[in-house]
Amino acid sequence: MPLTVPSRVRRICHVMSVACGLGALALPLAGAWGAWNYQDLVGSPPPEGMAPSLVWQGVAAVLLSLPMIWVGVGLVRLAALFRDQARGLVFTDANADRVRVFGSCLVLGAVLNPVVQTLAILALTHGFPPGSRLIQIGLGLDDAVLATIGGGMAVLGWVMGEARRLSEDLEGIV
Amino acid sequence: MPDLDEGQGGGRVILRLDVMMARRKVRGRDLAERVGITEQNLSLLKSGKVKGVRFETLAKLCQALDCQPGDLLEFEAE
Repeated sequence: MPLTVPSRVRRICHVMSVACGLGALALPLAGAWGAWNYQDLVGSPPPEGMAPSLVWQGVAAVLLSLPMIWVGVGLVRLAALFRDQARGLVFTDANADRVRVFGSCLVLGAVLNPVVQTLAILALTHGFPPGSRLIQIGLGLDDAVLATIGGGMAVLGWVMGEARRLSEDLEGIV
Repeated sequence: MPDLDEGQGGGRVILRLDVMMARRKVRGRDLAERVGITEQNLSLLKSGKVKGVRFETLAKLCQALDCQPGDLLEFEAE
């Protein structure tokens, strides 16, 4: 049964829905942009007179956008959740599932991130002469935080599923 | 006959609200007002389309109809 949503909350939900949709589009692009920021990605400038080839930059861009695509998928589900919440559909199976999927996408993104960064750096330096090619394996605090938040969201999704069941039970009691 | 809960293999509880209302000659609207529930919920109670009844609601029904919970609820074994 739809709940009565105060207009202020409804407005916030609409804004969040749009923000999540935009985030879902922007994140993969932001991830891909990393392929054109060699120094930020590798931590040092390329060797004198050398630059990654456009093809390998493209490969690195695709790789770097992969974790963000997953997070984007999660954000699309979150946008749908906010849309439903604005309509008063709060404790529903679909919403619980969306929160669970969002959490899982964050965890997957956090796990993929160090792997694709390693592969992206390898791709960027692939055209360099022997001795200048790099392979870097790095685990960042950001990934750990993302995975923790994702895990928390997945648990929250399960709790929402239980809340939906309780809500349905209470609806049938007079 | 309206049943309150279709138990899993153990029978069911039947709500005899309509019978008691007829005996006491109480109208639905009046009873709903005295008990403090909506007519819609009273109708659901009468038709047995509810999962449960709060003790509070049951007590108010008993008070309004001057009866005991046993007069309203009946267990029917399968």
